[in-house]
Amino acid sequence: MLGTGLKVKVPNGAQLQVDDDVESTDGHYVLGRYNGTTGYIGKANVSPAALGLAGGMQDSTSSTDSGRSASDSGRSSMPDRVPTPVSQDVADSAESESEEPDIGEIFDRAGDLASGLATALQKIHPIGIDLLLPHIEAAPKSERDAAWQDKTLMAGAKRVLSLDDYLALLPARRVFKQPTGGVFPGAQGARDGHTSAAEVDVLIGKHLGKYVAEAQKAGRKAEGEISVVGNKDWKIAFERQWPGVDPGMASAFVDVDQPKRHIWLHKDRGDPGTAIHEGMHKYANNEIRNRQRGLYRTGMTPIGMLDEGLTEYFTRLITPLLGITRSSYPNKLKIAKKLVRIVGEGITAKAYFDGDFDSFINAYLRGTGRTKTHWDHLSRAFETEKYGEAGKILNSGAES
Amino acid sequence: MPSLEDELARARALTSTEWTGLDLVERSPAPSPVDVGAIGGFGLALADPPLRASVYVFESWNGGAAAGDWLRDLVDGSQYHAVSAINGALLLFAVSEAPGEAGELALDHLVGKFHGME
Repeated sequence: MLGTGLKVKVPNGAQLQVDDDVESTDGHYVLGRYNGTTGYIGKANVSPAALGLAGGMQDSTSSTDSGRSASDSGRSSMPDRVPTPVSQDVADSAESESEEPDIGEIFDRAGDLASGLATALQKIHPIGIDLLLPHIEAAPKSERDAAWQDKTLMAGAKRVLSLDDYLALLPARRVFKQPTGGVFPGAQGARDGHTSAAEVDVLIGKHLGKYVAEAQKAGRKAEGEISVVGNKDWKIAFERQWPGVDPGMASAFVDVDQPKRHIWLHKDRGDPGTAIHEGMHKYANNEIRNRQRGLYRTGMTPIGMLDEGLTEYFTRLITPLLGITRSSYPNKLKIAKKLVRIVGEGITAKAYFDGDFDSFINAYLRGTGRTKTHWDHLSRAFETEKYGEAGKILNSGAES
Repeated sequence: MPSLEDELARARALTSTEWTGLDLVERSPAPSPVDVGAIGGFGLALADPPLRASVYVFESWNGGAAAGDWLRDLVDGSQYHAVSAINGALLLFAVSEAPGEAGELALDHLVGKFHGME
């Protein structure tokens, strides 16, 4: 690449293409292409017969027998009119083109790790982590840190390396600190257990107060409604609600079929946002859950998908504020977010927390100009977990 | 905390073909568990749409959160779509190598299933 000193070795007498319409400001170099690589070549090294021809790339012959090259003799006067793409300097050389660049030499010449990595990633093809690792390991921490900060370098590494090698490169740079006493510095340190029900109430009140006022008046809350339990109690509670289902495959559940809809969290599962999500259910009116849950399915229907998508939507109005990364319910959340965008958050909140589901549906139909038939079609796809289909229906407005 | 073996067994159940419906094949995790500070783990690959994942076991509940954020931020972008997910001491780091509808759906499906019923 211009300015980096990279060269492509062109055997004496080799055929290459030159475009003398594009030359350096000092007039000593013209654009050339050789073996798929575009860059600059000294005019003196190009057959005179090829120069002066009208426009575009012309076939020419490398006529040099010297070691002089564009990159090592003309870098200081490189043109301000840089054609694109320019991937590498074209330099002439009497040496064989088949000679593989030596990675040790690249890093020796580079002066620092970032430059060495940049050059190696560009010059050596294919390149893998095995070639790079010894040089990364040998570099001082300051150079590894500098390499890590180089976003262009990182983007180049991601582009050139296989995914596995790129992933292997990351720890090799020692960016991530090893844990001390089992906890990573920077981890959600205080959050080494589930968020308490009392804190859930505080958080929902603080961040969603305008939406949950009626729910609070109605006495809905998380405190006293959530139990965080170990294996023994978990198994008993889970098998009461979901007989025949493996209790090992759940992190949290609601006693949806019990007289009281208590929430259970397994103490060793879930994440710091799980209690907030489950607590959100306690503030929700049952209307959406009950209507959607049994609408299209028979048998064991533990949850309503719209209900879960909206629960997660409101949960994520809180969790980022606490530094909690949530990834639960990704496909349900995507559909829910699209619906909220159309309907509006306020109307959605009235439906979710206060049970005004009909207004939510009507707002969707008004906002899109679509029909109740379409809504039913969309609702069915969503509730039966055909998320790809639901997304298409939502985008297209299809009615069947 | 449950034992490493118990957590690996739980992770394998949560990512099994039987549970996810995805034909995931076990492979080496990338990066290795030690490189992200985990005490164990395994890798997974899906051929179509191309998807890679690693599941790690950490010493503590939510212990993989920072590692997950770090890995996701480094890999996620226009070339790959990367996500991380915490389930207790487990961290799932998954990368769709072919961003697009099929890749996104598979990734979302895997992440959703990894959380288990909740």
